[in-house]
Amino acid sequence: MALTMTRTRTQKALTKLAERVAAVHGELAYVEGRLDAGDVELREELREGLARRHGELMAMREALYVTLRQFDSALDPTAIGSSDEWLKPFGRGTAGRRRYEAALPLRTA
Amino acid sequence: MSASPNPTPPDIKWLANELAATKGEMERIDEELARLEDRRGRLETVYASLAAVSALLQAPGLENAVAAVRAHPSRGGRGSIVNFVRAALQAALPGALDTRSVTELTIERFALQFATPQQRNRFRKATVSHTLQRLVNAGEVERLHDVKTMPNAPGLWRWKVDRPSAVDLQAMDPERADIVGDDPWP
Repeated sequence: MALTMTRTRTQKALTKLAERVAAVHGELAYVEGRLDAGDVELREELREGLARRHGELMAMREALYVTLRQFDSALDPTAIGSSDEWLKPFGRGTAGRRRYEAALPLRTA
Repeated sequence: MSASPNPTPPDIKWLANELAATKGEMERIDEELARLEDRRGRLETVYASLAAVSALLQAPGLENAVAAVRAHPSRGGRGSIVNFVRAALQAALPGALDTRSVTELTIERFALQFATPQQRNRFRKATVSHTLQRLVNAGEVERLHDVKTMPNAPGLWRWKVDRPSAVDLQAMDPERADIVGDDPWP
């Protein structure tokens, strides 16, 4: 349960946290899908980038889950769906995914 | 049972008693320290998660910018303690509960833990007694103990039921109206 008084918790904070969880769920599903596809054309550099990003997303998901449960222990973060918000900075569709993967080996976090 | 041929000298008895009590207090402190260590470990995980999420939400280093605040501990939803005390007194009807019983029931219900007896006393005075007094002021509970004649007696509290007192009943009887006020008890 949150340590602070209930008055300071807002719907906006909850919405933002839930949106972040949904984005992480979406990105994690994509990254895991790519790593598990057994795609022989996956470059070593890309595979390493995906694996590193997978680790970052797992840590991010855990931190978001802990934060959501701190907000309200009755919430179940695993019940939140997924979204494509994570892809927005790179554009849409296949082109967006290509740009996302091209940026992976260069990302530091 | 026959008396011991070598009774323990009173000074040794006293020392044994003090040793036992001191040992017990140290054990209690050790248990409390272990509980607090566990709690600190869990809070460290929460703190690290909150800091990581702050960075995620474009507020990196927020944990360094905020000062520590000793937040009032949350004991469930708003009004949870006063509602529990209400329910306890209602369940005790037609009987009453003393302050100590209400305190113990509340501690058990909310699974509260106190590092020292002083903290427990502070909880009894600041939270339980205060809550009971609020309910008296709101007309929901009656105080049965007389703080003026017995200021140090344990507080005794009963859920107020809308019924006439013995004095009121006597006053309703025209034949006994002249002796109303002689009986000090309600």
